Amino acid sequence: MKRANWFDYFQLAFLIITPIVVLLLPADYFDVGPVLCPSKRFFDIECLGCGMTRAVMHLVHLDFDSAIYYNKLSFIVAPVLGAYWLLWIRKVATSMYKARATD
Amino acid sequence: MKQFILSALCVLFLGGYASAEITPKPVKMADLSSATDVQAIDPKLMQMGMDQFLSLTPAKYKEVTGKRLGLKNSLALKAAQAKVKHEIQKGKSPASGGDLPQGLYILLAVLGCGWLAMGLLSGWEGRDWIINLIIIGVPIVIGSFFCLLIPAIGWLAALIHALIKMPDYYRN
Repeated sequence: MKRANWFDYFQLAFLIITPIVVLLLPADYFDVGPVLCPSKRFFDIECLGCGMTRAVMHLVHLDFDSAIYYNKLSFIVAPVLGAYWLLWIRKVATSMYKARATD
Repeated sequence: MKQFILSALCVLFLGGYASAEITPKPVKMADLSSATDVQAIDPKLMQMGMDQFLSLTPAKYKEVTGKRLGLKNSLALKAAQAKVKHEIQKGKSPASGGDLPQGLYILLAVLGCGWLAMGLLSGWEGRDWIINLIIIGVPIVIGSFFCLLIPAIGWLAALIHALIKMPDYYRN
């Protein structure tokens, strides 16, 4: 007999709370801070992922100008992340539902 | 061995921070050839200071002017900032090819002495030669204790770095 374990509940809580926290934080929350990318830090060359966190954060807050400014690829990455998030929720929810049904 | 690796890492980070202390000369926006790109976005941007322009974002633009920058101009702003930054950095390098032929630069880079070529061309100023020396030096020292593949990776990284930096020294 399979039961929904604590990890399933943890995953579901994480998946639901994370977007809420991201939406509640101000759009410019990640705009200031040290440069973490080694490519930018040592060679002063931006890699394809540079600015992605800031860009996605602005995109989530529907600030398209800033999003395209920080990283234009965010317009591809953010929907992919969104789709992956939905699929992950569906997977966890299905797993929990099946576990309950077998109880 | 642990102490040695820690010392090597300390040298790597101290080198990076020490080289970051070099400050650029003050340059006026109107003197740059990329000024036309800046003017195309908004002529008011020409009145900005260089630091202010380089740190400008669409959000700051909206704060200052009260207008939205728009998607097209946001991209243009980023491109203009990169151009201006590149131009300032070019202006900072004192040599424009110097006495070292480009072929010799490439040969030195292939032989793992790209830092020597960069140092000679820049008069041992700036951080390029230090970075290149760290890229090739640290893996050689670490690799001599563990595995020969590590220096090979360092050599390749140093070669790529030297080739990426080559246009800065041979811009004419």
